[in-house]
Amino acid sequence: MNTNLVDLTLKTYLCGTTNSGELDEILEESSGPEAAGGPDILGQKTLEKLVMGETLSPGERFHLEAIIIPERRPAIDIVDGDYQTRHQDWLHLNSDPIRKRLHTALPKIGRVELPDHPTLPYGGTAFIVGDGLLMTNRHVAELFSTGLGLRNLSFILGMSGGVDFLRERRSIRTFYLEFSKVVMIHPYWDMALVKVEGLPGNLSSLVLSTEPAGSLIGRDVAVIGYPGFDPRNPADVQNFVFDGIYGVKRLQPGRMKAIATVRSYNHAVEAQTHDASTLGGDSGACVLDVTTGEVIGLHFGGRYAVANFCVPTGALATDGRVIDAGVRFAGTASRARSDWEPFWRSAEASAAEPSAITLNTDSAGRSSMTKETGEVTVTVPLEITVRLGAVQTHSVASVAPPAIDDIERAEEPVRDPDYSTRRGYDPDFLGMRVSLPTPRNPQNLARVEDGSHLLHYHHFSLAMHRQRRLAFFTAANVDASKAVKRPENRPQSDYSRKGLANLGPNDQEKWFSDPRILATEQLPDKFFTKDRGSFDKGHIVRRDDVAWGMTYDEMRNANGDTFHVTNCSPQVAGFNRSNLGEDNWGDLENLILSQADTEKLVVFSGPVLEPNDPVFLGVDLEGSVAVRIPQRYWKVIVAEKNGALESFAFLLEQDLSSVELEFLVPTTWKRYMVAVSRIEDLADLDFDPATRAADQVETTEGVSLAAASGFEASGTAFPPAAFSAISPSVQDIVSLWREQQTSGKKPDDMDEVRFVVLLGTPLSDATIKSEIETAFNLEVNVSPLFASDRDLDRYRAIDIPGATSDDRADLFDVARAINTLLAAETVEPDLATHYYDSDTLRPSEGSAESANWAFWCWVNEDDPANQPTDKDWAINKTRVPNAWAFSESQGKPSKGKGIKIFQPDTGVVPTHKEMPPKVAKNPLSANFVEGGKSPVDPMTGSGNLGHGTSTGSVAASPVAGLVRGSAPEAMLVPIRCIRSVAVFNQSRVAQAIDHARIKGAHVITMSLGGVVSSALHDAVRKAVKANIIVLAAAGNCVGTVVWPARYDEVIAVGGVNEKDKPWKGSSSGRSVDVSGPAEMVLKADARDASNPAKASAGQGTSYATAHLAGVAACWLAHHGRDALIARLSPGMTLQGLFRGVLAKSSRVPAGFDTERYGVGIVNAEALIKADPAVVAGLESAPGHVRDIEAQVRELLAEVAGVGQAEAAAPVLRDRQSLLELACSGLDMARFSQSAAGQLEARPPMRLSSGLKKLLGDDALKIIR
Amino acid sequence: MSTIDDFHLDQTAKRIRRLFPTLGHMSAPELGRAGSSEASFESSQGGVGALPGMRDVQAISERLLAANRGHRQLGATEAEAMATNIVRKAQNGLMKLDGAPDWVLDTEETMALEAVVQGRGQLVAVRVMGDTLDDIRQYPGADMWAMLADAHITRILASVSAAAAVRVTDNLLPSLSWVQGTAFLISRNLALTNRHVLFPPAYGTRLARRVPGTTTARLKGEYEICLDFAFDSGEPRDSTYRIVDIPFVSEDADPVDAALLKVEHRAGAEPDALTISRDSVFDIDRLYVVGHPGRLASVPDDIQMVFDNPDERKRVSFGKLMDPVMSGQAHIVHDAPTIGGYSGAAVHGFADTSVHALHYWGDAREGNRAIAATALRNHPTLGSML
Repeated sequence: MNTNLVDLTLKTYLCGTTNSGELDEILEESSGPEAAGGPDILGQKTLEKLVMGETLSPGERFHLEAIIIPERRPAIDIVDGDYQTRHQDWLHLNSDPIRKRLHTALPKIGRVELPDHPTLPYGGTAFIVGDGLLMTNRHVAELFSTGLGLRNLSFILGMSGGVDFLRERRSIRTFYLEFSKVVMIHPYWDMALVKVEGLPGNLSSLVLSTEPAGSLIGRDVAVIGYPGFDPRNPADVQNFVFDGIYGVKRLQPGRMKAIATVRSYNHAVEAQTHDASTLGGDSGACVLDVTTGEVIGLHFGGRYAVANFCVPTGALATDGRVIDAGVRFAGTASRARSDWEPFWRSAEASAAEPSAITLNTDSAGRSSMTKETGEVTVTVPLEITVRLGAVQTHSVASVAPPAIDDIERAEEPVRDPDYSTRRGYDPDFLGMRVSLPTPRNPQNLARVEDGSHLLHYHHFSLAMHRQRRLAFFTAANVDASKAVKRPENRPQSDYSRKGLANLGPNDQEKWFSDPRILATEQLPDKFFTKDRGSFDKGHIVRRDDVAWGMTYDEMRNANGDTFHVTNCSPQVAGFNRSNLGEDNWGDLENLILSQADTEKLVVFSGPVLEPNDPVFLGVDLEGSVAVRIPQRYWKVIVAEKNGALESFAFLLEQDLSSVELEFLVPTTWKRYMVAVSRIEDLADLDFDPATRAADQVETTEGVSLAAASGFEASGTAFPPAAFSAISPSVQDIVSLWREQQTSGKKPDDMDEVRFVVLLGTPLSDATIKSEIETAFNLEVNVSPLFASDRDLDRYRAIDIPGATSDDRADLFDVARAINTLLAAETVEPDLATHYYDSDTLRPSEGSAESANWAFWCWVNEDDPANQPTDKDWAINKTRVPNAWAFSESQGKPSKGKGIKIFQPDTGVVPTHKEMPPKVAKNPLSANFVEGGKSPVDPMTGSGNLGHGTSTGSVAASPVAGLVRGSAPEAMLVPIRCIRSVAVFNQSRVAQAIDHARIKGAHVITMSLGGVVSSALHDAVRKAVKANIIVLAAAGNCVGTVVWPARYDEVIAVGGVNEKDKPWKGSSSGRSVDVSGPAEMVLKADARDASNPAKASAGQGTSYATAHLAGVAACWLAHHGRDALIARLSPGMTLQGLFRGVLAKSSRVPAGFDTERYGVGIVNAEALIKADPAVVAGLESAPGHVRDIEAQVRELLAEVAGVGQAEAAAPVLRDRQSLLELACSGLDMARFSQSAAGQLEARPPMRLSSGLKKLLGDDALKIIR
Repeated sequence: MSTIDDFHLDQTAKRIRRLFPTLGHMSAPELGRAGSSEASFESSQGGVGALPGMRDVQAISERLLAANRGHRQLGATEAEAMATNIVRKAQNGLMKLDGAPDWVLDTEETMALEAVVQGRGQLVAVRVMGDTLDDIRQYPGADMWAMLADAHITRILASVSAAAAVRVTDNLLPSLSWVQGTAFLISRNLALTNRHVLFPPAYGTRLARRVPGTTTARLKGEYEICLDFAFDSGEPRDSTYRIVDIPFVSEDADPVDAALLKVEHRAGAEPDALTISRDSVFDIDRLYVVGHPGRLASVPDDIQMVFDNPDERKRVSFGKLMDPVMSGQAHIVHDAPTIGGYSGAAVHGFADTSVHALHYWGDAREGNRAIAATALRNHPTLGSML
C-alpha cells in the first residue's frame, strides 16, 4: 500500500470511530478541559495534517496508530472475570447494567487450545452457544478437525483441541475442557460448532441475537476474545496497544459498522463490520451488544485499525441447520431460504464420498504443506506463513505422540500464589543506587501488564526476549548475611533446596511458566524435560543468591520464584555450575563478597542472544518448536567497597560445535573476565553509568578476583613471550638479595627494596608474586600501593623482604627485568634519593655526606649581615596578620579556621610547644614509615632532624609561643612518610598524598622532593582534581626544581629572603610558581629535647612551602572552600583558581626574576582581598601540562645541554627509562653544585645496564 | 673500630689560608686595589704567601705554554691573557675569603687560587715518565722539591712502581674506559685502595656489590677491572693485574675508607709490594702521594692546563703535613695537590717506601685527608689482613 493509501485508510478508520464521521470531532474533543483521553499536541497536529490530506511521516503515523487508536478502541484486560476501563470513550462500560451483562457473558468465552499443534500457541476463541455447544470460526476448527458441513467431521489425526475458559492476565488459573466432537463446519460462513462435555451448570449459553445485520449499525459492541500477536501489523504499534501482552482474555469495545462484502472461503459474503481493535487470536470471538448482552456477531477476521468482519448472528438465525444444532437464539429463530443453501447441498453431497484427511488436499487453501519447501501455509483469513526450514520438514511430520510419563513425579516448588506482592529487584539494595540496565531494543522484549518489560519476582527481576523465549537479562539482589539466610532459625533441612521447595526426597523440581506473559514468550518446562537429555535446566538467577528473607516464607517464596521457566536457560553444562559440579559462580560471588564492605551484591546476568545461535528442535506445549540455544552467558556483579561501587563483568562460553543437540555433551565452559561495556554490546543493553564506571576489568583487583576463581582476563596476552631468561647481571643482583633473605635479618621496611609497578594489563597480585618469585627465586610481597581506587589500582607495590640495595643501577636493572616479565607500563624502584638538602649544618668533613654537601647553598646564620631586621619577618612581610585582620573585619573565618592541612613529612614532635595540641593523635593522620603508628617523629637518623615539626609550625603553629603559623587555626594533619627530608622514597610520598585525598585534605603541603614517580604523579593529579591545593617545595641546593614541585599540576614554591632577594639555595626555573620566605624563617626547633619551646631561624624552600600552605588555608577559610568550588568554571580546579589568584596578588619587587622564581612573592593580604571571581571564570588556569617525558627532556637540556637531551631523545620515549634519566639529570645538577664535584675527577655516572644498552654510544654523552 | 671522633676534625688547618698567610693582614681597600688595578700586579713581588700578582701571571702563562707543548699552538699573548684571567679570579676569591667562612669560594675561584699555587711551584704534581719522573725544575719555585726528589729518587721510584691505576672497561660500552682511582700493592696478590673507589659517593659507577652481612664484596660482571701499574706518561708498556675478589671493603659508616683487592698478575712487570707503616710519624713534614688524577669535568680548560691537564696518568704529588703528626693518630692532613683525585693513593714520607697513610679525600680549601697507617693497622677487620 502506498503511503497516501495508508493514510487514507487510517483516516477512514479514525473517522469511523467518531459519531459524526469527521476527524474534527476528535480534534474538538482534545481542546476541552476534559481532554484526558484525547490526542496530545503532536497527535492534534498529525490529525490536522490528516484532515488536510497531507502525507504523514512514519513517525506521525505511528503516533496516530499507537497513541490515538488505543484511546478510541482499547483492549481491556479481563481479570478475575471482570474488567475496569478508564478510557474516556468507554467509561459507560463500567456502568452497572452493562457490567452485569458482560460479567455474565465473560466466563462463557474461552480460548481454543491446540495441545498437539506443532506451531500454533492456540487457535482462537470459542463461546458457549448451546448445551455443551461452542461456536468458533471454521478456520479455527480446521486447525484440529477436518470435514465440512455436518457429517464426516473428525479430528485430524494426532490433533486434539479444547477450550480454556480462563486464560486471564495475571493469573495461572485454567479451566480447560476438551472438545469431544466437531458438530458443524459451516460451508458458507466462517463458523463452526464444537461440543464439550462437563460444562458446569452455571455456564449457560450465551444468547444470539436474531436481529438482521442492517439494524445493528452504530451499536456499541464488546468483542471478547484472545487477541494474539499479529505479525502483519507493525510490531511496535501493536505492542503499544496491547501492552505487549497477547493470548489473554480481553474485551475490545467498538461500534458496529456497515455491512460489507468480503471474500471468505473463496466466495463473497455479506459480513457486518465493526471497528474494535482485534487481532488474529480474536478469531471466533463473540461480538456482544453491550445494551442487550446478546451476541450479535461472530468475529472472523479483519485488520486492526482498518476493518473487522463478523458473521451476523441474524443471518445464522435463519439457517435451519444451525438452529437444529442447538444454538440458542433470542426469541424465535425463523428459518429462511438463504444465499448459502447451495453451499450446504454441495457439502452434503461431497460428504457422501470418503474424505482424504491430509493437510494439503484442500483446494480451498485452508491449510497446506509443501514437503519440498518445508513451508506450511495456514489460511486463517489472517494468513500466517511460517518458514520452518527444509531440515525440519521431517521433524514436523514425525511429531511423536504425547509421552505418557513425562512428568516423572515432578513437583512444583512452593511459591507465592499472589503475583502482586513481588517487588522485584531493588536498585537501592547496596545503599548506593544500581539501576537496572536499559535494553537497546525494548521491542524485542515481552511486555507485562504495567507496560514495562520487567517481570518482578521476590528479590529479582527479569526481562524476557519475546521471540527467543529466554530471559534477556536478570537482576538479582544477593544477600549472604546469616540473618537472612536462616530466618526464624528452623531445623537445618528446612533451608535445604528441597526443604524450601517443600519436596520429598525423591521428588524432582518441576519448573513452571509465568502467567504474566504469553506461553509463546517463554519455554515451558516440557521443553526442558523433553529435550532428549541435551540440556541442563539452568538457573540464570542462582537459587541460592535470592533465597533469603526476613521470614521463612519470604525466603521460601524467593526460592520458588527461581523455578519460573523465565529464569531457565538451556545449557549444555551448568552455567552456574562448574564442570566438577561445584558452584563456580558461587565461589566467584563469595570471593567478591569477601572483599566487599557489605554482605550484599547485585548480580545481573543473562544469555548472549545471537542471531546465529544453533537451533535445537524440541517440543513445547503446542508441539514441535525450534529454539536457538545461546552459546554464551554473561554476568555482571556489583559490590560496594570503600563507599564506592565496583563492577565485575564475566563472560562464559559453551562450545556447541559438536552437539547434534541430541546428546548430552560434557563441555568445558570457557570463562573470561571482560569489560562491562563489552557485555553491553553483547547483551544489547546499557548498564547505568555508575555500574559502567565502577568496572574493575582493567583493575588488578578485578583480575585478582577472576584469577582466584578460575577466570581469564579477556584479551590478556600473558605471560609475554618476550621474557626468556634473566640476564646474568640481574641474577647476580638478586642472588645477593636472596642471601639477605636467607640470612633472616630484618632491615627497616623503608630500607627494603621496593618496586612500584604500573601494570599494563591487569594481573592479580598472586600472579605477580608467583611470576617474580619463579623467575628470580626470591620471596616477594605484592600489595596494592594505594587504597582501593579504580584509577590507581594498577599500581602495585612489590616488596623484597629482607633485601636492601643502595645501588641505583642495580635497582633499575631489576626493575627493567620485572617490567619485561610482567609486560608492565613501568616498574619504578624506590630510590631514597638525596636531591633535597635541608640542613645548614655542614656535615663532618671527610664523611660521606660531606662529599655531597652543597657548601654554596646556605647563608651564614652567624653572620650579623644575614640576620633579618624582624625575626618574624616571614609572617609580617607577607602581610599574614593583615589578612587575618581583614577576614575578622569581614566576619569571615580567619587564620585558616576549618581548613585541613595535610603535611607529608617526617612527622612531628607532638610535645613541642609550637605544635597544635594533640597533633599526632589526629585520626586523619598516618604513618607510612612505621605502618600503623602515629606520625611521631622519633628524631633519629640524619638530615634536618625535626623537619616536620619545623615546617608544621610555620604552617599552623598556634599564635601563642614564639612561632606563629600562617594559619594558626587550621587543622594540621601530619603524615610521616619520610625518615629524613634528605631521603626521598617516592612510593611512600605517593601513598601519603592519596591518603590525604581520601581523608578529605583541603591543602597538601610537601616540603620535600626528589625524582619523578608515575604513582606519585597520578596521586597528585587525583588530589588536584579533588580540588585540593597541592604545594611542594621547589628544592634546595640542587639548582633546578625537583619533583613533585616540578609537576605542572603542583604549585612549586621558591624561596626569598627578607630583602626580597632569592634565597641562595633556592631551586629556580620555569617550574617555580611563586616564592615565599625561605631564609632565616622563624620555626619550631625540636632538636633540643631539653627545650620543647625552642624556636630558631631556618633556611630552605621547605619553609616557603609550609608558609604558603597556611596562607592557602586562610584564603580557603575566608572565601569558603565550598563557595569557591561552586564558582569554578568547568574544567577548572581549586588549585587552578588559587594559582590564578596568586598571580594576581603576589608582590613583584623591582628586579624580581619572574622567569625563575614565579609570579612574585606571596602577599597574604592581597591574596585574600583579591576577587576570586575574576579568575574563577577563566576556562582553565594551569595552561599546558607537560608529561613526564617532556619534563625529563627539559631537565636534561637544562642541566646538561641540548646535546645530552638529544642523545637521550630516543630513550625518552621508553617510559621505563624516564626515572633513571631524571636521576641522571638531577645528578648532573646536583654534582656540579657539590664539594665533591670540584676537584676530584668523577667516575662515570652510574647507569643501569639496561639504559646503557638502550642508549648505546649516546650513553657516553650522559655518563661523562 | 675507630670512629669519626678520632679524626679531630675541628683541628683541621685551612689550606688556603695557610697558603696565603698574608690574607688576614690585608685591609679590604688593599685587597680591593690588588684585585682591580694593574698596578697591584706590579707591586706584588710574588713568592710564597704573597697575594696573587703579575709574577703569578707570568708563571702561570709559562705553565700554560709548557702544558700546551705538542698539542696546539698557544701564543705567548694568549697564554698571558689566560693567566691574567686566572690570577684575577684568584684575587677575587681571596677578597671573598677575607672574614668569611671558608666555603664562600666558588669553584672557579678555588681553582684559580690552586693554579696560582701550582704556578709558584709551591706544590707540584709531577708526571711519571716510565722509570723516572718528569723534570721538577720546570716548575718555578719547585727547586726544593727537586732536591728532595733527587735525594730519594730510588725509594720514590719504588713507591711509584707499586702504584697502579684502577682501570675500568664497561663491557656494554667498550669505547668507555676510565681510571677510577688508584691502588697499590701491599703483597703479591693484594692491593689497597679506598672503599669509595669501588663505591663512589652519590652518583658514580659502582664496581662491586657488597655481600650481605660481610665486609666482602663481589665485582660486577659488566665491568672489566684491572690494575695498570704502567699507566704513566712514559713509553707504553705492560704491567697489569686482574682484580679477582674483594676480601674487604669497609662499611659505609666506617671512617676508614678502605678496600682490599685480591689481584692476580696478568702481564708485564711485577712490582714489589709496599709495606704499611707501623708508625704514622713522618721523619720530616714533607711527603708525596702517588696517584692517577683524572680530568675535571667542572674545571675550566685554562685552569686544567695550569695543572698540566690531568689525564689519569700516574703522577707524584709533593706536599707538606698540615698538622703535626702524632703517633697513633687516625688521619693526617696534607697539602700535596691532589687536583683530579688521588683516591686510593699511598702517602709516603721520604725516609722509606712504606705507606704512611691512605689518601682518601682532596680538599683544596681545607686540606687533603688520608687515613693514617696506624688507623689502617688498627682496624679490627682490615688490620689483620695487612
